[in-house]
Amino acid sequence: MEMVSRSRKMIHYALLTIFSIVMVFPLVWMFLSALKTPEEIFAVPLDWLPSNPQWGNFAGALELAPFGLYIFNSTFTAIVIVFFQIILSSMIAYALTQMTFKGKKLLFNSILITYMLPAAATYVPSYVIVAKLGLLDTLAGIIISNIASVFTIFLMRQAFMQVPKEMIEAARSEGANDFAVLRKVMMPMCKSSIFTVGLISFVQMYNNYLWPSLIVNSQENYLITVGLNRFFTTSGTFADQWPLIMAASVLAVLPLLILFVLLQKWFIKGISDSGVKG
Amino acid sequence: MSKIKMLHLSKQYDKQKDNVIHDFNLEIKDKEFIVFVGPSGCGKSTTLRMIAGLESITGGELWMDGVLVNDIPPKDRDMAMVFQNYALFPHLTVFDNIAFGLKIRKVKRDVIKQKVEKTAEILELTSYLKRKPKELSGGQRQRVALGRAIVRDANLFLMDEPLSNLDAKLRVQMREEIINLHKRLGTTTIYVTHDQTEAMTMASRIVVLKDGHVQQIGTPKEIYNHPENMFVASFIGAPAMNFFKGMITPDQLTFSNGNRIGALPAAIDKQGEAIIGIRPEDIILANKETGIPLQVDYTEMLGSDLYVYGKLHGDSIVVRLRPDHDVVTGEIIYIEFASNKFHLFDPITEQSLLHREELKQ
Repeated sequence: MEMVSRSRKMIHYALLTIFSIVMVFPLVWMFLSALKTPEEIFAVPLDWLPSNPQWGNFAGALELAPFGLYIFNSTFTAIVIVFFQIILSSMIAYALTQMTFKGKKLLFNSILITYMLPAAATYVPSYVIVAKLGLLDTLAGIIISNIASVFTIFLMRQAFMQVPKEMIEAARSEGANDFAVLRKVMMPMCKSSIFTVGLISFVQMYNNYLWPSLIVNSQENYLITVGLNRFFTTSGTFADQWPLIMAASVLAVLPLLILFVLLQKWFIKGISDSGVKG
Repeated sequence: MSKIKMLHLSKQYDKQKDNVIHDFNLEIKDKEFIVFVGPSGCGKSTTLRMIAGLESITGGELWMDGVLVNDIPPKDRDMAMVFQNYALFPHLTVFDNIAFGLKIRKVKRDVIKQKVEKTAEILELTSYLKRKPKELSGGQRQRVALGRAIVRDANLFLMDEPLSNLDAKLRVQMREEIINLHKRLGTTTIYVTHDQTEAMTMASRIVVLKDGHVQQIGTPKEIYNHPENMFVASFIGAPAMNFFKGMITPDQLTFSNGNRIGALPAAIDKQGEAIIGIRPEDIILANKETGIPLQVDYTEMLGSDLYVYGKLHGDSIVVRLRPDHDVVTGEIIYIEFASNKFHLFDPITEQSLLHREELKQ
């Protein structure tokens, strides 16, 4: 028996190691390339490590385009979006789990159905709405068009459903109204789920490319995704640009990496349990 | 101070045909300790939750201090509830758990501190105030739950089987603490339990429930001595009351075969078949000549008592004896029934045939 479980474990670890390498390889490649010269990147046979790390590539990248501003735009919009998504989703998840009203099921199902629509199908109507609101080419336009998230609503609903009924009843009999129950019981008890949802949503918003690229035109409103792409397409894919593009990509990834390091405890907790334990 | 009046209270869930609570009538005086007791599924918790406002009232009226509260939400009912599984907030410390209701009511911070500390002192929780619930034992958690209830000086305490998650020893201890707390604070309390010992020891009045129907309301003594029907007679008291078939003749009680059991406990209008009930402690040992023979099936020695089990004309019977009696399995003992301790029930309606007034004399 022990032998079987041990060899099984070894297979697990082997698979995990292979997948981890596959996942992490592009990232490592990007980091290394950011420190190479153009010749080193395209060297045959392959040079793994830069012979002389070109730290200047980062400064060079920032000179080529305002990547700092793009990263700020992305971080700023993503934070604001996540903030509103969590507030709004927790409110609707509260209603969906704690209140009884006619058409509750229908409401939840219709929310879910909108998730099944291909994103591209919603671009045109969304574009028209954003345009009519006069929010084209603004960060506010990006924020407002993203603050309702079915994914967040769904996950928050699942998390809220795990909160024991007695907790809510205890809060109610202690004099709490709906808002107090939500703020003082539900949200703190689902903290790890909220962090997880927030993190996933942040990454999603930070990486969002197509939609922002449609509604944003002027360079000062570019998100990093849009900015990187425009830089890439306008200045061409000449070999001597590659180290700079890689350096810019490294800068773009940094906020996400920092966030992951800071929140990984919550992230793992949120995935492995519901966040509610007596 | 809280007076509660329930008038024809009933509860029906959406998709069910039958009511879970039928025509519940009860008037609770200020400072009373009322216990709802009954087997699981009898509707005692549902009734409590209706009083708390956690469950809607589908029929009848609920009055608190002269105000009709049917549609008033829980937060405005000025009551505090203690739950079976404590329902402590895991993310808050003991202090914050106790202070929860006060904070919701925006009480000043120094007042909260003072009140929580006083409550913690009463419940001996002072050294645990900074801990989280998961770092506490069951008894301590239960005390925190009680603390959360008493700190607000609510007019009414509702307790839903608060002791059933505790071990036997702790349960007795907490029972005493709750009784003392009630004596000290005098707050009207409604307490739900399925444990008849709790009901008997704590209540100023007991409400016995079965299948959503009130079976009897009375003091523990009344309920024990004058049960109104066979359910109450069998539910209250351990071991349960003995029942056997018998006959009422104009001047005595007999077994179905005509053998004499004893004198009539009171004048009774009805004649003929009846169910005779007698508590185990009202059966005494007799001599061979006058006693009724009983073959001992088995015995239970509890230290303070000796329970003897056997069969009398086909009906199971248990006798409660002093522990110094030497009774062994298979032996034949002779018993007789303490006069005036019989309970008589109609075999069809199962209602008592004794008029309470006559019995009380």
